[in-house]
Amino acid sequence: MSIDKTELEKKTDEEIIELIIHNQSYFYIIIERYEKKLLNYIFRISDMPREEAEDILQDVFVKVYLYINDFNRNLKFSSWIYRITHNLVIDKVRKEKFTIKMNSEDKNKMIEKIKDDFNIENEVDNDLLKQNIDKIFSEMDKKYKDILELKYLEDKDYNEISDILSKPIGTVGTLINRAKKQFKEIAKNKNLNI
Amino acid sequence: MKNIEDEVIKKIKDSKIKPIPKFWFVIKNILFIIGFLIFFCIGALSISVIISVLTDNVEFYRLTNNSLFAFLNVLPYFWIILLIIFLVIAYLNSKNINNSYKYFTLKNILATLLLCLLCGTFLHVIGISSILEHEIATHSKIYNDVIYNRKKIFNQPENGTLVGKIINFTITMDKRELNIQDIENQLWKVLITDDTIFKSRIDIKNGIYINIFGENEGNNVFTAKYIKEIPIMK
Repeated sequence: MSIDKTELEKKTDEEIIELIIHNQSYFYIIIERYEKKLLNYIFRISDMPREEAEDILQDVFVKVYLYINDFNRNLKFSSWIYRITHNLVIDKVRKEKFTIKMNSEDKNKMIEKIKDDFNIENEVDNDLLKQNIDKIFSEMDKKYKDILELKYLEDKDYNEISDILSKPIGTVGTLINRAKKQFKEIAKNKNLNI
Repeated sequence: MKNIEDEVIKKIKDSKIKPIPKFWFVIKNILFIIGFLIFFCIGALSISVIISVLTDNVEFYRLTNNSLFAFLNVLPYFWIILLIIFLVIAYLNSKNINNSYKYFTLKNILATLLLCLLCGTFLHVIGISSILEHEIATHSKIYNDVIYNRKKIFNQPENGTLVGKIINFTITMDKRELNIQDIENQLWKVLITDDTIFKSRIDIKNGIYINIFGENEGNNVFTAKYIKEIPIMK
C-alpha cells in the first residue's frame, strides 16, 4: 500500500521511521528532511571542506538506515540523528583537527542569542563582538563550543542536547553555565565588556 | 555538489545494506545489563572480603598495638585493586546500555556505590567472604600464597597472636586444648577456656590453619581469647 506525498509530509519523523521499518523505500523522506539541516550542523561544528562534509553526511544516513531498529521510540528522531552526526564529525575532527568558523548569518544569530541569554546589561558593540566571536570560539574548549552551538544555532532544548551528547540533563545545564562563563572570560580578555 | 539522496540510496542498494534486526539490539542490551550485574556482584564480593580482612586487621592492630605500617602492610590490596577494576568495567559497560547516560548523575553513581557497599557488608555478615577466600585459596596456589604472606605477619606470639596448623587436639568435658605448629615451625599448646570465642564456624581437625588471639603464658603455652580459621593449605 503506497501513501501519497502530501500525506507523507504530514507525518512526524517517528511515524516515518515506523513506515521505513516495514518498507525501506520510504527512507528517502528522512534524507530529504535532514540533508540541509545536518550539512549546516556539520559545517558549524567542524568547518570541514564541503566534499568531506558530504561524505560524512552520506555515512550518517547509511548508519541511520543500518541501525534504524536500534532507534529508541522514547527519543526524538532528530536528537538521534544529530547524535550520530555529532559522533561521526567528532571522530573525523579528532583525526584531522579542523578549526571552526561561523558564517555571517550564524554570527548574527549567535550574537543575538548571547545578548538575550547572557543577561548583558551594558551595551555591547555588535560589530566588535562579530569581529571577535570566531577568536573567542577558537579559544573555547570544544565541549563548551559544541553545547553553545546546539543551544543557540540549532535551537535545541536541554532534553534534546542531553540526547545528542549522551549526557544527563543536569550535566547539560552545568556545561552550558560553564560555557557561558568561559565565553565571558575570554571576551573580557579581549577587552569586550560582557 | 553531490546528490546525497541518490548517493545514499545507491550505496545502500549496491552494498546490499539491510537494517540490523531488532532482536540483535535487544540481545546486546540484555547482555550489557547482565554484564553490569555480574561486575556489580564481583564488586560486592570484593567489598565483603575487604571488610572481612579489615575486621581482622583492626582487631590485630587493636590487640597488638602494632605500628600503622604493619596495618597498612596487611591491607587486602588484591581485592582493593579487583574492586576498582570491576567497578570501572561496570561503569564503562553500563554506558552501552540504552539511555543509561540519562542516569549517570553523581547522585546515582554514589547510590550505586553505596548499594554495592551494603551488598558487600551483607555478604560478609552471612559469611560469604570466608567461603569465597577458602574456595579461591583451594583452587589457586597464587592466592593461597597471598593469604599465607598476609597471615605470616599475624604470627606474633609476644604480641598475643598466633598463626599455625592444628597438629593435634583434645576436646573433652574436662580438657580442651589444641596443639599447633606455628608458621615459624614452633610448637604450641593452646588452651581453650569458657571465654574463648570462635570467630567463625570451625570444624576442628588436624591440618587446618587457624589464627588465635590471646595471651602468651610462656613455655609455648597460649591461652586463646578467640580463634578464627584461615583458608590456607600449606
